[in-house]
Amino acid sequence: METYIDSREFQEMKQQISLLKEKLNRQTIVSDNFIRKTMKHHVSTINRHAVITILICVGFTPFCIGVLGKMGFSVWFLVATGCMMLFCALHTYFYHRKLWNVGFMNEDLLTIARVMSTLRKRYADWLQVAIPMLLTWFAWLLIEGIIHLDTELYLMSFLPGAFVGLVIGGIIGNKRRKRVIRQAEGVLTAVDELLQKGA
Amino acid sequence: MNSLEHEFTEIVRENKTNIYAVCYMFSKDADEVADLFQDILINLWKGFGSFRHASSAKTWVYRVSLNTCIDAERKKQRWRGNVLPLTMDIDLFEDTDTDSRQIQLLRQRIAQLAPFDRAIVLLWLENMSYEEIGAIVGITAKHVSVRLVRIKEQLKRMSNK
Repeated sequence: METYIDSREFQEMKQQISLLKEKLNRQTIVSDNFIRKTMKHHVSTINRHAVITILICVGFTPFCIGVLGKMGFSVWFLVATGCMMLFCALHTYFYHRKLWNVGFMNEDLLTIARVMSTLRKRYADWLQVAIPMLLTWFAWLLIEGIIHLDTELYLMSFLPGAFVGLVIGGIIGNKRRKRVIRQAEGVLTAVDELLQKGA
Repeated sequence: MNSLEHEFTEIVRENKTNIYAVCYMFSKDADEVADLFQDILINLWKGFGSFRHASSAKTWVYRVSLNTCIDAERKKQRWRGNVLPLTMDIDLFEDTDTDSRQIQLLRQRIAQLAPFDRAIVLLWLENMSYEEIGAIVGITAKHVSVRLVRIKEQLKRMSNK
């Protein structure tokens, strides 16, 4: 493929870039200290939310099982709760695994677009899994409450607490989900614009 | 310094002028250059573990540098944290000698282009082939060729104004 395009502007620019390179070649530009500090700089905002989600899921699993166990709930329910929490952690990990491996700034635009598109689709589809799972678990929680708790305690504390928890948890979870989708769409739009300009 | 860090330092040293040139073309002042330079180094280091030498180090450095600058351009508002100063005794934004003025003219020309076009021109000025440019920016060699013709026309129009 030909790499030469005859143009006065381009030829001038080639001379100018040579001047720039000559000047820069005489400069140190970047000290050892600069490079070292950069290497120690472990900043990573990408996937931070995923890490937090995984930590919450894994960290709260024993706590939830402990609390529900003390309330006398059945072993099957405790096992199901533990499995659900771990499923969420694993699910988040596998959703983000590709993004971790890709190295956001390290790939060409098409690869980034592909990975972000998959992530967005998975997060958009997540409600199809999360809502039935959460509602089943919640219904089971209410049944376990009826079986194992006093009626007064159940009606006055457990039931309102469970509903408030469900609503708050649902809102927070959905907000986080939408945020990831928005971020993914932002990246996809930017990539799209860039590729259109390049087309 | 372990071997990985040593290898990274060498790559940065060998490509420091390329990184600076990219930052310079995407910045308005020396502070912004230093800021972008630091961001690029962070991204290079973050991606260094997955850099498998499938492409040359120069190509990889250009890819990360341009992605970082285009991403910064997209975000417009940049967070400015503690920016480490670059080690330079020239100021390519302020110096008024003949060479510096020529370099400033180049920056002004390139700055008028869209970020994506800026990236393509910079790589072309590095004498990279269309295939290499395409591999870095993620389009085909044919698209690079078409894009360069349009850029050439755009630059001509600018100089005629």
